[in-house]
Amino acid sequence: MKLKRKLEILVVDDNPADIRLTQEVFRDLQGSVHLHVAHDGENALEFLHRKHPFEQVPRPDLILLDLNMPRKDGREVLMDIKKDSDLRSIPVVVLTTSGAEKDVTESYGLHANCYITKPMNLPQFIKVVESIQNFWLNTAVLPRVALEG
Amino acid sequence: MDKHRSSHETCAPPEERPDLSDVDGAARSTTIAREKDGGSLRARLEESRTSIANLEASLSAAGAGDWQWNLESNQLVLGDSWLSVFGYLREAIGSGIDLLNELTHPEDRSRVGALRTQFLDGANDLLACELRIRSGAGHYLWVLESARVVERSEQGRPLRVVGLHQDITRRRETEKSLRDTGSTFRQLADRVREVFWICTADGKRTLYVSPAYEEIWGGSRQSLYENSEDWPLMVHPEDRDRVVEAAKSFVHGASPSFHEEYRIVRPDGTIRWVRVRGFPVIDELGKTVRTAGIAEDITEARTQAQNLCRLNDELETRVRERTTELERSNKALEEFAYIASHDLQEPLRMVTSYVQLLEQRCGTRLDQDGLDFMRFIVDGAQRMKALINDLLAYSRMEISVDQFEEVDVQAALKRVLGNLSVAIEESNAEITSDPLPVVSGIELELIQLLQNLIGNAIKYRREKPRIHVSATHAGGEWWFSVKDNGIGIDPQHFDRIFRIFQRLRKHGEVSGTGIGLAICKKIVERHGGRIWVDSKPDDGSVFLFTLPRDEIREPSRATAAAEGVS
Repeated sequence: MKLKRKLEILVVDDNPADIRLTQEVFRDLQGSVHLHVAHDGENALEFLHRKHPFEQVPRPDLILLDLNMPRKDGREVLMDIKKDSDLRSIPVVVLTTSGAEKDVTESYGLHANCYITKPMNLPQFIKVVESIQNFWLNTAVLPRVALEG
Repeated sequence: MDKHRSSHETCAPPEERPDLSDVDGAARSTTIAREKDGGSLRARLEESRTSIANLEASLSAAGAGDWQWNLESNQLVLGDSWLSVFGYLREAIGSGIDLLNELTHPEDRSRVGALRTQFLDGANDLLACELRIRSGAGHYLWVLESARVVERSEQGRPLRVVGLHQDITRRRETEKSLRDTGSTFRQLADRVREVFWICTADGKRTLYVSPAYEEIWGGSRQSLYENSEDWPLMVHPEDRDRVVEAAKSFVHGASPSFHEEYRIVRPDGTIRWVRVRGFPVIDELGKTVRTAGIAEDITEARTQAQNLCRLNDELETRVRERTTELERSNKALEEFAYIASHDLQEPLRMVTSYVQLLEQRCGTRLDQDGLDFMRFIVDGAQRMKALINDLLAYSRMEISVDQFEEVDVQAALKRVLGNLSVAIEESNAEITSDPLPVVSGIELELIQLLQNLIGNAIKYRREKPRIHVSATHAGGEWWFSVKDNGIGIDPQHFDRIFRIFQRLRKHGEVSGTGIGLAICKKIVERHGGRIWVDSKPDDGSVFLFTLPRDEIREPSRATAAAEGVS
């Protein structure tokens, strides 16, 4: 089922350089994607609950979540999202530098929908972003509530 | 007739027996005179001879031999039984009055000779003594010599004496053996360190207690003999009921033996542990006639066992402590490994990615984006450098083996202020302190500790930083505090700020690697102290840490002049 509107993606990352890189790659791919940014875990939950200053933001179709962040890290955000009956249907892709077995196991244990390790160089990173975009935009069927939200 | 005679022989009344039966003292000296009466002298004589022969055989079988002394004729008449018991032939042995003396063991001669003389002199009617008589085979037999005067002259001088030698060699040997055994046991009991004791069957009276009792109990044996029933008074009050109960149960036969370990309080007040065992002494009929047993001092063994227990406990505690320490250390190492292998890659990845992006987008021409990307590259490289430096500092502490020395914290603070002079000048910080003590520690680490805490206080400021360092002592510890007027910390983050790579601030807000407080924590823990923080957001923070105060050292400086740098 093809999405009629842009895919709303929330990127949760504390590193502005990483966010910028993600933004640049999505821009180069020219997909039908709208990126939103939260700079840490608390910021992300404020966004999802549409708290100030996020009263007007759309409900994201997909969350790209970093694990290691100050204040509230990705694991806590994941736990909060999956505990929340309104939010748990939003697919969460853990996108992190860590390839540690412990982090992978823990993330899936917290009901992450996907776990991706950030590649070390740009061409590979572009491929990863491209595949995320293609899969969630063109391949996967998203829940109705997400489509309507 | 035969039947009658035989019956007559065995049933003959004592007064009709031949004179030799006088050995038991039942007959009288008038018997021989009586023989003249009666019917047929020949028949009577025959009868007597038979009786004598029978008697001699009986005596011989019982190991006894009879003899007579005729003092008028100076003759010793030895009976058949005597010759049989001592193994002599009548023809080979003389009959002189001195014979008896000659046969007596030389060692016994004077003693027995005196007794015999006394006897003949009329001092004693009966002679009874033990002596050795030489046998025909040449060895000596122990005998009991019994003799009685059976005929006296009108003046009362003994004329005839009858006597018996009873072989008592076997009895003497048994007695000697018993004496030897008794003596052996007695000497053993008197000399060993353990106490031997013998009581009456009811346990109420002490019949014997060996000298070791005085050594262990510290009281005299005499008092125990005299006040046997007071023994529980020396038992430690906490053990008394139990021991008295066990003793009762034992003497009443409810328990087959007594075996108790308990404390005694000696007259000088010292306490000893004793182990007392007792058992019943039973006669042939199975009746308890005595109670007896052993007591020993087990204080040393008890103490050693207790020491061993305590040492064991201490060792276990130390192993537990060491294990906890190792676990903590391992956990830190694990965290370090995680960081080194993953988090360090992030800035490196940035550098790599942006350089590639720069090439792809801008080629050789750099526009504003290009400049931005360049900045990120530089920033990433710098962060990487800072991380590596801090991680090195952290890991270096892990392997440091520096010895503790006296560190003047006041002087350490002075150096910290020198190291931070640029930041202090830039922020216009005002740093004051109370007099600070001399502590035992590693100087460079304590300098780093203060530098990280004061550096943070300057870094996380709201306005002109005002920082105060102070120290007080409580319960064998120094309590240090570094108080600031900065942005403060939410209490929910108090724990995580001391964990490695935990930052509360976003990138760009404040520069930092998230290792500084982890290093502080490590330094304080290595010095045997604790570190924690007290703070409210927007209300400043107080970082507190403790250091052990092994040697009481007050700050020697009377001048409490605040150290101000601005």
